[in-house]
Amino acid sequence: MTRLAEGDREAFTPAFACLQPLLERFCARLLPCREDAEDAAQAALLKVFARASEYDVSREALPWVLGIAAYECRTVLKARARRREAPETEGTEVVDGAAGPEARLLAEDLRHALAEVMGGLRPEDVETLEAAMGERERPAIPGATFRKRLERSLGRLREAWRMRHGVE
Amino acid sequence: MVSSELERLQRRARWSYEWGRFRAAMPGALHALGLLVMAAVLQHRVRPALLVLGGLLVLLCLGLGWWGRKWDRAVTPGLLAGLFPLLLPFVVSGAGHVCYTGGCRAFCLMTCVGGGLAAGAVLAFTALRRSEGHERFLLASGLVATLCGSLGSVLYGLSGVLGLVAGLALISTPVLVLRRA
Repeated sequence: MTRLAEGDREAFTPAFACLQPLLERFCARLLPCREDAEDAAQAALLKVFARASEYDVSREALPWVLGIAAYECRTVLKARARRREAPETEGTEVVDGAAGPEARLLAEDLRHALAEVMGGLRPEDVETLEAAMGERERPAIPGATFRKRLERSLGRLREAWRMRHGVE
Repeated sequence: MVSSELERLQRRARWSYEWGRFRAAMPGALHALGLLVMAAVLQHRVRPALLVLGGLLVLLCLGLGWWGRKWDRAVTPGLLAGLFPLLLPFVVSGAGHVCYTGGCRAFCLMTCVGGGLAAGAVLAFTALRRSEGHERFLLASGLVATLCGSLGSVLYGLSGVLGLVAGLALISTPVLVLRRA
């Protein structure tokens, strides 16, 4: 490594012959998957040679090389963990996004129940709640006043829902 | 691993190594480029000779840094020593000196020789402190310093550059000879 750091190209072949099996064995010990270990070993090998001119000749070469390899193994492990997480997330989104017959029926029931409860409220409360849900134009009143009115309307809606269905 | 895959990996590793060496040589080349820009700014115009000499200097710094084998260690001292002959002509003209007569020409030439002597002294001193490879160091750093200094000495034409080379050789050669003896 010292010779390589100084630019001696003749040291390249022996260094490659020495480092390649060493890094493969090291990565195979750190990573359970054989393909991942090979990938990490190759990446580490290329990085070691790319950074050979930065190698500090006053320090031991082996810890420096193995440090690079360990970093590559960690990177592969992180990438694998990300790959594992990604399909799960996508799967959840698909399930949530897909409106199956049961979900559609449940949503329809909820809408009917809400309409029934809102039918028992005062017209002012219904107007406020519909304006908050974007179903009608917001009244021309200051924002703070509307927020207070909405708070009161929601309180009455909760109370009416509890009276009718017995749950919050 | 299959033999062909191993060969491919070895080629990629070699390419990575050469690319890494090239990247390591970039700072020296960038410093040389900075000196070229500085010389162009100080001269208030870009002469073709300045561009040629500056281009050679950048390529030399890049090549020495990439090749390594202790040749790369000559780049920084060479550039630092080259600052004397690079800046001296600008200091002289900045001090209000204007060339009119033949006698003045000799003064300007002596400025370049003086810059070369200063650069040679710095390089000789640095070479003496090294434990090995004095010849190689003096040759490479002298070349870098000559090209660097000629960015300023080119203000006085070819004679200025020759004066710089003479000054540099005048002081570094005896050191080299005495060291070998």
